[in-house]
Amino acid sequence: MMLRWLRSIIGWTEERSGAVAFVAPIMTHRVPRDAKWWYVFGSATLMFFSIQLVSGVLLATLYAPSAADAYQSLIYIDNQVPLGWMLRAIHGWSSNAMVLMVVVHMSQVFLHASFKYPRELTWMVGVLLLFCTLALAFTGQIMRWDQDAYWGLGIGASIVDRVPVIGNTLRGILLGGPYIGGATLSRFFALHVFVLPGITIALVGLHLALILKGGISEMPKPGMVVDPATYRKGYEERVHRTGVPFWPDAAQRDMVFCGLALIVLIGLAAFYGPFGPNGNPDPSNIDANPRPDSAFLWIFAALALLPPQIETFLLLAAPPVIVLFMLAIPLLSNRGERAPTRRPLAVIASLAVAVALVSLTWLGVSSSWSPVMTAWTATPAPVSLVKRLTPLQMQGALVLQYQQCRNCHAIDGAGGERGPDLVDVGSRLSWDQLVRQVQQGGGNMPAYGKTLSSAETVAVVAFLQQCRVDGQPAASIPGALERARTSDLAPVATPSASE
Amino acid sequence: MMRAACLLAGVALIAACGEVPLNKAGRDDAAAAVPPTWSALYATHCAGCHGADGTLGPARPMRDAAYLATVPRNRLIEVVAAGQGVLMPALAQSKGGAVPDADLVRLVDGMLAEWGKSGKALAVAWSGPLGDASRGATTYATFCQTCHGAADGRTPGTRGSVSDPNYLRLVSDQALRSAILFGRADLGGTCNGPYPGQATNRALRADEVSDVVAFLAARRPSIGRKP
Repeated sequence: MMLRWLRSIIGWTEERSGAVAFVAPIMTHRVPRDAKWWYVFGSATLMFFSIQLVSGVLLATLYAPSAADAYQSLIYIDNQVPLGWMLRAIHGWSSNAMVLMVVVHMSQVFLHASFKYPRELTWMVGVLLLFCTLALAFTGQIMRWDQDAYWGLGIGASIVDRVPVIGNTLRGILLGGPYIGGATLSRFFALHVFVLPGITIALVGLHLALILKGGISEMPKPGMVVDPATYRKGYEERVHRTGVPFWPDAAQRDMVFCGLALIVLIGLAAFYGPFGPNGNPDPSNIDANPRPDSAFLWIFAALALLPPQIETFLLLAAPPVIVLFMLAIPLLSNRGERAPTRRPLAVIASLAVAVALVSLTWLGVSSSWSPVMTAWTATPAPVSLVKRLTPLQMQGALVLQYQQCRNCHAIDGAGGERGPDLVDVGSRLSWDQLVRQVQQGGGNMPAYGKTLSSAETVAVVAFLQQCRVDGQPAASIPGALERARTSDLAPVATPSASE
Repeated sequence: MMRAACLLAGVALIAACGEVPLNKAGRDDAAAAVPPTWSALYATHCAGCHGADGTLGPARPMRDAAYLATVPRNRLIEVVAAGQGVLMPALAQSKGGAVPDADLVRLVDGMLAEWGKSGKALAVAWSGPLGDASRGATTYATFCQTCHGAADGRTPGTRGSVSDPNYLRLVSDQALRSAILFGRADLGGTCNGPYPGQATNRALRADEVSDVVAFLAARRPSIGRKP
């Protein structure tokens, strides 16, 4: 009785909407038999995007998008709303997972040359989806309205500001005024919640429609070349002859992978919790140690390491060149071999990009150009060195710690990496050179001439002169009048001067 | 495969629901309820100068039972909180440092309990007024010169000068007194006797300590900040 009643409702609805008639051919369309586990990443990306939409809508009901309240509303969600922290954690981790899956999916498509005829447009829309995903991730980071958000915006604004002629205007448009304030958060909220999701949903729809139109590509085989004149006919024949229906044959693999990915996502969210918020967005807070989210660590590292002479040029020229090149890939090569074994250049290029991204991300994590802010109190002077110091040199070692030199300078690998390791500085720089470097600075090092007393300078230089690898003599300039190595008193000629 | 995945997902969800607290405050409570141990505080705020295990750093070793037994607890807390001399920074948040006051007390108590428990207080007071500088010159020549050289710098010692004007500008009178009383046993040196090359195989008397400090203090140039 119940079943019959249900069937009649479905029949009534179907007769008027045609929904099942529309969806059924899509679900059962034939796909290549060999389209197996390599093809699950796109579905996983879609799953993470769906999670973002649902969790994002829920968060929007709790989040206060005003500069005065945003930070506190996150604290409220974390601490007052039941499982609110879990909701934020899932939204944050799913964002990272979506970026990762987009990159993995695109890498697979590139390595298998699935962008070739007739799927050029599918690739181009995919490229736009990549940048939409990154834009969603960046604007999502701004939603936290913490130190990371503030300084991330500051860097973005300063890059935009460098555009010739219209830089100032662009910065005003980006920030909603000349500086970061309430209007900035409002427009990034609109971008994150309305504009970018809308564009992304439209592009996902287009992407799926193009996939249905062009069909899922087969696994590449050496010798099976793509020729636009014959490809479509041959593909349809092969799929008709040997293909399998998408539902349930191919879809079940997607579901298994998505299920596993979901378990990992929930595990990460439960174990590590939500991202931030990391401190109030207060520009006067000198203890701020802002870091971008993981998807942007490679950009963070690249920006930090760019040579200053070509910084502006690369900042402004590289993004459009990269976007245009990625969009143009299928136009540059839309026929021929698809197998990676026959496309060594593509494989090498992929590896190079992967190595560069991983290396830059690692550099972003370690950020060796940033001082280690706790090194001055937490990183001991090497014991082997301490054992051979005089009382004055001991005080010099203390000056080095007290003035926080260790935050930038390691000794024998322990400490900051911004400046050179001081383990052998005594055999590289003479007494006078050390005094000059300490007092006047140089390179990235600030001048300490007005910070240190003459006694502190003498002590720290006496210590630095002892920083030598075993057996190395102290550096000296032959013939120059320099302070004797063993004396704590006035300068005298070095032995080498009289030789 | 599908069944296994579903089963795994179910187990994971049930396990997660059993452990997941309703709010982040509850989630962080466990971590927040455990304050940092004194050894963690030491490793973060002191090890840089006083050595990783309390010895062999450029600053006075804190793993020195006699020192910890002699210097009053309140004085230790005061120095750690407000700093001392030229190169000991104030650590207390109330003095511009980074450590909550309660943590500083726990830090000092931890050091006293772990490193000071077997210590025996010295007979000579840890602090005292300066003595007679001219008598101190004689005492210095008798007891200190072999290791630290002649005060005029003409005869070098084996362990480096303590009469160097720059050194003296960086250490306070109290630091000189502590150095004489407690020495640097971790570096194999003691200023509390016996003294190498000296017939008088005994520790310095209280008045002699004050005299030597006065002698060295008198050699400190009167320029710059007073340590």
